[in-house]
Amino acid sequence: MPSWRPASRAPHRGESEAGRAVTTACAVVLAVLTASPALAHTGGSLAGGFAGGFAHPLFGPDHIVAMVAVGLWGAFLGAPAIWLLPIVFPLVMAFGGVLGILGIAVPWVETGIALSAVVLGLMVAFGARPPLAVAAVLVGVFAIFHGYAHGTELPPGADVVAYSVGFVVATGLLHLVGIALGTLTRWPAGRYAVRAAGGAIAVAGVVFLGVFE
Amino acid sequence: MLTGLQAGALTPLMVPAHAMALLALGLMIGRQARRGATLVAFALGLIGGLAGIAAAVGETPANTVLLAAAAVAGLAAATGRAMPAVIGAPVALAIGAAVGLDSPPKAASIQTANATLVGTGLAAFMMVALVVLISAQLRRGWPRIGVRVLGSWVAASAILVLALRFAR
Repeated sequence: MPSWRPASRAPHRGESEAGRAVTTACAVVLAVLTASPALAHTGGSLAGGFAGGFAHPLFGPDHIVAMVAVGLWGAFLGAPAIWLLPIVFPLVMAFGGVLGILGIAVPWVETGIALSAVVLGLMVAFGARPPLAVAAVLVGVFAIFHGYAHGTELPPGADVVAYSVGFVVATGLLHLVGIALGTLTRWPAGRYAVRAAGGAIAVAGVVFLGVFE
Repeated sequence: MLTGLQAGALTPLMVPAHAMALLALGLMIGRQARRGATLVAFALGLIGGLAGIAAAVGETPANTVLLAAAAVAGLAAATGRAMPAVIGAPVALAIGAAVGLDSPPKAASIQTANATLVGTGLAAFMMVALVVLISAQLRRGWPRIGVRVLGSWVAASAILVLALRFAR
């Protein structure tokens, strides 16, 4: 049993059943209140904003490989990094986004994003296990570059909330993909596969740096 | 066609800022050992906000306050620690009031407008209660981490939108 799991009070049977009953009741009332006829092409702003934001990180291969690398490295590092990095990354990324939105100059953003793939890929490839603080700072610095790039590209439309939620969720899901792939490290062959994936990500990062151009 | 009650009930679910704030609040309250004061503060804020919009208070910074409170609640959920009621209750009060004030009914008659406001109030409270009940049971392992991740996503999104709003 992993040591990071918190001890918790076991609920009484009656308490648990009552909680379930109230949860179900709330869900049913909410569903009845909000039930309506199917209306095609409604909520375009919400769907378009969320879909646009969700697609944004998915159309940047440099973002994709770096986010997956964060998840892979987290899985490689084990607890508590495996859950700390995906929690901290969006918050630090938001800080970078704020810098971008406010127009505060951050140098070498694109280089930083490409370097994030190289460095994080190498960390995974070599199975590096630095102290948690070092890993957090490294990932945090790269999160600022990624957030900055996203921040400068946020559309000033009315559906900006949905857009922001979309791209934060997409970024988080890419981390989860990395973590899911990283669970392969439980098996010896899986460890080699994950490290090979890290190597491929590092090579992709070198390509993004434009070394071969 | 939607009735006034249904249209109002859909508002907290369909307006991203509202849904985000209510989700974060539910996650935050779900971590608390004593939730009564925070839930009561939310209900009072919600009733006050809806009463305010019914009395046509005019334009308010409710949406900005809502995002700021959502960021605080999201950060609280992301830490995974129980927020003391002395901090949680004002955040809940702010979210309740802001949701109410930011939900002007689009209705032709006063009767429909009132039904819309009632629907908004009921749905907002039900949504928070539902999230509280679910998140309160997610206290171990991966589900608990999922709650924290959701909190960080809400906080990050709210912070970005706030920054964009202030930059304009």
